[in-house]
Amino acid sequence: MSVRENLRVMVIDDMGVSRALVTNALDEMGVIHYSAEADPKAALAKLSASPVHLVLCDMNMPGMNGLQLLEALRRQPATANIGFIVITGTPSPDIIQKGQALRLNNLVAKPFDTPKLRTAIEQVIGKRL
Amino acid sequence: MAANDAFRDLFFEEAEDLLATLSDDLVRLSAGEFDNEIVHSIFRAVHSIKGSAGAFSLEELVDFAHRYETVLDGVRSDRLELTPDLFRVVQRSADHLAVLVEAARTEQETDRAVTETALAALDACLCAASATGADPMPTASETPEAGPAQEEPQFGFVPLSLDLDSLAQTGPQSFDICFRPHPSLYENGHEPALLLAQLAELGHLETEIDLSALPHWSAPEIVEQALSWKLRLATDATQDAIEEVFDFVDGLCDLTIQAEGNDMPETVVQNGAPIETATTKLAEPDAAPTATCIEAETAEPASAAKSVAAADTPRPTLRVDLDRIERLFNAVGELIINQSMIAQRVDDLQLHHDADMAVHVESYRLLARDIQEAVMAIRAQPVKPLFQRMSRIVREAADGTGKQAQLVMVGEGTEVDKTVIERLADPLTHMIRNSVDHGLEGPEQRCANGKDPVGTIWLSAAHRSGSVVITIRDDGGGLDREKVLGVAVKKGLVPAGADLSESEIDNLIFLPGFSTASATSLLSGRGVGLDVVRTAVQSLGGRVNIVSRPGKGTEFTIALPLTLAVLDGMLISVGNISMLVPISAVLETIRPLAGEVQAVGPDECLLSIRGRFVPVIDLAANLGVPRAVEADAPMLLLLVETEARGTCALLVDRVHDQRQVVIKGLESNYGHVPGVSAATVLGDGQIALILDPDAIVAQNHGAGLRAVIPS
Amino acid sequence: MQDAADQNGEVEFVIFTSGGQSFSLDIRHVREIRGQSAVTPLPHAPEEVLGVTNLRGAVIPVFDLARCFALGATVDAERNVIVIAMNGTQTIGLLVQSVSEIVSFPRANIQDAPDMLGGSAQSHISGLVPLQEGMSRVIDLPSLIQRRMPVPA
Repeated sequence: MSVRENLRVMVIDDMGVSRALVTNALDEMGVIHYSAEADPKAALAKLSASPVHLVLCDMNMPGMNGLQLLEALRRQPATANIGFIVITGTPSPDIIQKGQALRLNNLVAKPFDTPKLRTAIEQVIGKRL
Repeated sequence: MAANDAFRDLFFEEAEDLLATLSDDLVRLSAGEFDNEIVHSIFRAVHSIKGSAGAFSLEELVDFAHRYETVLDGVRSDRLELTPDLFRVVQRSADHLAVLVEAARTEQETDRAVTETALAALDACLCAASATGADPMPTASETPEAGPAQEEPQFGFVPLSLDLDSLAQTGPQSFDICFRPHPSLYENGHEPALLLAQLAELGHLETEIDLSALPHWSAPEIVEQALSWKLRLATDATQDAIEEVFDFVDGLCDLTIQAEGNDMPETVVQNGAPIETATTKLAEPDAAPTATCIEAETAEPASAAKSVAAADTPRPTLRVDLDRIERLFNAVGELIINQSMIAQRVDDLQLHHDADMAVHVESYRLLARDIQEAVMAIRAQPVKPLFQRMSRIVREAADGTGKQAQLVMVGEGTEVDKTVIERLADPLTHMIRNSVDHGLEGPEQRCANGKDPVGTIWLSAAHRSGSVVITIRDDGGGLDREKVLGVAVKKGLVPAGADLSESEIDNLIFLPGFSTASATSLLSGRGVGLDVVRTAVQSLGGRVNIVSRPGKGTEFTIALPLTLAVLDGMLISVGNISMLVPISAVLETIRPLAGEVQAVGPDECLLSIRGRFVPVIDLAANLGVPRAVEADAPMLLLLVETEARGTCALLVDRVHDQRQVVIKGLESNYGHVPGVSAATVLGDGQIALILDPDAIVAQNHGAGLRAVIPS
Repeated sequence: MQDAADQNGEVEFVIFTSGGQSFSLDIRHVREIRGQSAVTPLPHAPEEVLGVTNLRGAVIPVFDLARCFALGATVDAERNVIVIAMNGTQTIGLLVQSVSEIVSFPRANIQDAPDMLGGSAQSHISGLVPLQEGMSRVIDLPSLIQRRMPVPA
């Protein structure tokens, strides 16, 4: 089985339109196993119960931002090594610095398109999708 | 990115929600409630709009949102102090953001100059902050990205790779499952053995029955609940797939599923500890599979509802294609008609002895009404977003006239049919603007009159007996009735010396031709375009009214039907045609006495009523049907209020009763009929036409009326 | 209306009598046949438009077919029926004296209407089909209706 048929991804974004854009891009890449969450806290609970390989997460969300979610994941052994890509409209040095400290795997700036997202994912998994 | 249209619609829906949140937050801030969380929420709303707008290449919107966001970021990180001046800019920027979103949605050109002005105001805030200099603010040009044009490679982030080599060979994972059926599981006809067989299909299953809880053999009966199983399943399937096996016994057993971490072969995710999903959701009686499914569809995960504070969790919603709702709406219309037909038929059969039948008919009626209400509720939306737009209008109008004004909203949660709300936007905007422009006095005059220099406009909505009532009240100067009457007489709208009540005088300002530029200055502007407002409201089947108190203010009341699909009408007949006259137009029914109707010219008649003369219109002649009453029968007139000619009297044969009907279009199968707006099906299955009084009056030709004048 | 594909196939017609003459309508236009029901007259309608009636909640116009062909008004009678026909998305009713049968013809048997008085374009007839006892005129429904609809508002 190919990577894209095996890769399990979770998309987390409070905005429906952003979720739709990301999942649409995943569809275009042929990634089959993905789920989408609107609420970062609910996503954390789900990831703890059933981890995925890779999380594509928005930065700015109510209740918990992308890096806070990453931090929470890194703290639990079960989810500590999940791949994590932040998608943000404002990739500030602050985010980069904090992200690196938390072993953030990659950063994608909005607006993005499918090739850009694909590249970002491939950089992380080290394989062609 | 060529994001497709479905996403685009979604974007605008969400942007609308975000703007509403933004507006709410600003109201809270202006009410003196300063909380960093509010500022964060404002920032997030603007940021989210910017982020999504980028995907649709809405550059002006992105640029503006970006600069706005920079200022908000300054506020939330305490680099900018939220002074009253800055708050004003923040508020105006929210207004402009809404304008830009709306322009993008309708794909209309924006006035770039206005955006530049708004941007300049934001920049001024940033500069002011850097001038005071404690903590430098990044200005727009220094921010790391300057909008959608930004390209990769960016920001020197070094991707951190994952070792996915083992991904291709995901081996089986082991789960420890503890399964303890409740007695109800057996009672419901479930068989643990079958469940175990299903599990076995997922992979390699080891079972161990735990008899430890069995009562002693001497106990009177075997308690089935005492049986439990310890299972170990090695499978490629996910935990979800295992849970699925137990879906049907949800709530009928205790169930624990533990993924065994140690055995997990070198998958990316190294599960150091077993993943504990303590008594999974299956054990919760209220987590029915259907509910889970609905919530999943609406992106409101069940766990979200529990883990997040209730206040933060919006109620699950479902976006539905409007066409489907229309179809349901139409079908319910049929149901209501069918119900009244059956009721009438049963009534005709005089089955008085059959009490059962009466009960059934009545419960059918109630059921049909319940369904109708439920379906109407689907289309109902709160007026809040509409009202929020009005607070923007108030600010704009106040800025434009140098007045100070605040808008107070009441009952913004009131729900009205979506179409009504959409079509109300224009007239309401008009009236609100009018209230600020012409209703409120300038600050000096207000002070001179002992009023607060800041004028207040109250905008309220409420349900009242099957309609929704919207009022727009100001605490301005009110109408100058003497001048209003003077102008109306001068323009020939009312005869000189007409004895009009105060309310009748106030209502003169709605007459077309009343308001002109010169009248505007005379009457502190009241009346500008109000005939247009009335036309719009009447086209919604509503009425608009005015009450003015000199020196104290003016109140406009708009009464609207809750939906456009039904109409309250007066059933009349003319010749052999049954017709409904919209109740919104009907004033009263009159049987004139001798001398009250007089011929004027060859084919015109006037009714004299309370010192005014109103034209009499022969409905039968206008509809081209013969009258069904004797020529010398007493005259029956229906007084209606029209756009074109004010009050008119329609000559009809009979007036039956008032009723609510479902509106049916004539256009799709036939076409437009002059003087008729639509049709409806009556209880007996017959069709009645819905009269358009305005069209009748406008096309009036009054031949032969003299014959029917009472003598 | 004549698809090239079934140029050689059969066409089914509903045959009915109106104003003492035989007419036929491509069965694909016919939705149902109902007894005469109450019709509400429309103001300002041409005389061949009898009014509107209620077809399961839809308001549909009813035409007196005899009047459409200048054969005088259809006299009220027990046997009168309304042929409910579809013209695109439009549903209309045609009042006729009686419906006699449904007949299937090879397409080739449909003859062009001879260019008679006023020409076929004005007569709303698209052709003729032979019957045992004479012939029947095939109604050109779109043309028949179009001339009688009011101008859209």
